[in-house]
Amino acid sequence: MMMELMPVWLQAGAGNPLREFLLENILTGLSEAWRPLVADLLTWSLTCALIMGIVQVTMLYCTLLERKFVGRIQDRIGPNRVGYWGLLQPFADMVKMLTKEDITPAVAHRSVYNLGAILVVPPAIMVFAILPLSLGLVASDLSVGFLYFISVASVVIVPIFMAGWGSRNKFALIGAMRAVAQTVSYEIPQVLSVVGVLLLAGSLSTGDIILAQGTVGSGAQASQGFPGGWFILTQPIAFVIYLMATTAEVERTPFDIPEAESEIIAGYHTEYAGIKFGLFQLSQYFMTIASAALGSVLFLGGWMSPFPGGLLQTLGPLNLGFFWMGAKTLLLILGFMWLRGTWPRLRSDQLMGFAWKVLVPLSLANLLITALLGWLLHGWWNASGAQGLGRSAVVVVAFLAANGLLLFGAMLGFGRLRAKGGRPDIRFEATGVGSSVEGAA
Amino acid sequence: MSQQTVVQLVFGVMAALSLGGAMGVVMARTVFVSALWLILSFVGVAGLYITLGAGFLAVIQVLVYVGAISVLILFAIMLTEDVMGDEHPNNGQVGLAIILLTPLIFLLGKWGFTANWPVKAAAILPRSGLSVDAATAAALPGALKTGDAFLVPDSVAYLGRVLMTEHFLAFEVVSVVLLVALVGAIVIARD
Repeated sequence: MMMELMPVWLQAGAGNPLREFLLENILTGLSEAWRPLVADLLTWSLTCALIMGIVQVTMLYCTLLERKFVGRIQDRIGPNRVGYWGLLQPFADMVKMLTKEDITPAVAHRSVYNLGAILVVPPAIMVFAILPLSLGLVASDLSVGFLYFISVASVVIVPIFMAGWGSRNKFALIGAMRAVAQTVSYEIPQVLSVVGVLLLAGSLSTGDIILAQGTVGSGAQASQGFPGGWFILTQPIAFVIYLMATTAEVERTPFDIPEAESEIIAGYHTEYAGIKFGLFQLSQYFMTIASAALGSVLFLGGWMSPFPGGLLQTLGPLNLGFFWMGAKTLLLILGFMWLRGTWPRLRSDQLMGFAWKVLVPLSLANLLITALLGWLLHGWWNASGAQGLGRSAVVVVAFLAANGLLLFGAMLGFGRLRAKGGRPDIRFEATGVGSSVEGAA
Repeated sequence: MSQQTVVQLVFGVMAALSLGGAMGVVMARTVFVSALWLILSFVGVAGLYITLGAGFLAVIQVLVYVGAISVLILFAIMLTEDVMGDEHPNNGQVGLAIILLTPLIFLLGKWGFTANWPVKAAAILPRSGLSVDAATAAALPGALKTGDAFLVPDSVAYLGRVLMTEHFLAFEVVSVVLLVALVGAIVIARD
């Protein structure tokens, strides 16, 4: 009986422009039974290869960009010896990693130690499946896209735990436990902050979320759906919470406590050398790029042109979606690097307290306000009476006002908590939150 | 090789993953490694959900079981010194277990294959587009008619609607239970 119930994931290719092109022009010689299957497989392979190629190159040059950018922030020049402007540095690094001696500690649990390094990469690659590089250029626009991203990204902590435990090293173990506590904690504000966006977009699919941000002003489709434009305009607090939680999720400074080199050497990858260490770096950079890309999909309109009326969305026959998507993603990555260059590292307990006592309540309140405002205004923005830019402006101003009120209330509330003192473990300090959450974690 | 063969191939791989993982849980010498095998088993079950077209369930399975519950298990193991060493969990009762479990598995399998599973013919949904053919209708007498539209379980919107209407009470009760657990955890942690 099950055989007749063809799962949706085997039919997802229908309507894909590349698949249609393959079916009509290239696979004409095949029999009818084979053509759809071969077309699906080819479409998926080609899309995946393209996305992976772009992501790999981006990742390689992100390392160079990071070193250059942080160097400039710290009044240094950064790498400039290998190739013009240091452009061949990533390849030199790669060769160095590959040719280093592969060391396994004598007391390590061999299989767990090695598997930890190997398994840390696949989830970081798999998350790219739902990130559209341009209109239609997505490996699989799942109906549960955002949840897929979050769930696959959360798998990364299992290999990290394996690495920490398998190394049989105190610092590695401490690093792994910190990483897990931090990742599990920051997942909550990360997801909660995005739920507001999902509510307004009415979908979990990345494609639908981008399209929902395109109904500004009086276009052809402007009478349907949410008229507020990019979600950064209507969900600014959620955007900031998302960025903070993401920085913690991918363990970048100021949240790189799991690998704080001044405290615990290098955290969970203390014992790894050569290419195995490289795999951890690779995974972290992939996750950074993916999180930045997801941020631009959720809040910055993905592949949409930032100009009103879709100006420069297409250049002749070419859709510039990939350019806008890349530019927005790069902007967010540069933001992460800027943070890294300028902020000191937090303490582990401050970090946990910040997640549970500030970000979670704030994102819950933001969700409540978004739901309330969406429910109140929903009938009005779908009514035919209000049209055009005025309608969008009213929605944006209403959401901005609500966000401003929320921020004001939050500052007042947190300030009062801090002033009241009371129990020492709920007193807020200048850099974050007091102490003693770690015992509970 | 048709699409059905692909589905069966994927099903085979996922079933092997979940069963192999489960075997690993009981065979491993270290409790930590057992927990890792358990994670593999969870991943296999998520794969089974995907072959059934229940993408949402698969994603939640990975998010909750692989990303959260297994991490809790790993934490609990690492914080319990006594179970961290290498030891033999084998206590010589394998034969007895085989004798007791074989009839149980047989009975479960027999019941599973012969039971008349209630299949609910759902209303036509936007994301579906699959309909019951004659062979399926004949295999499920009374449950389905030829031409009935199938509910495609991947429809998140449908799930949300059902949770908020038909199963609203259960949904709210579950959330209250979770809230109680959360408050209880905080109370214990503060003392």
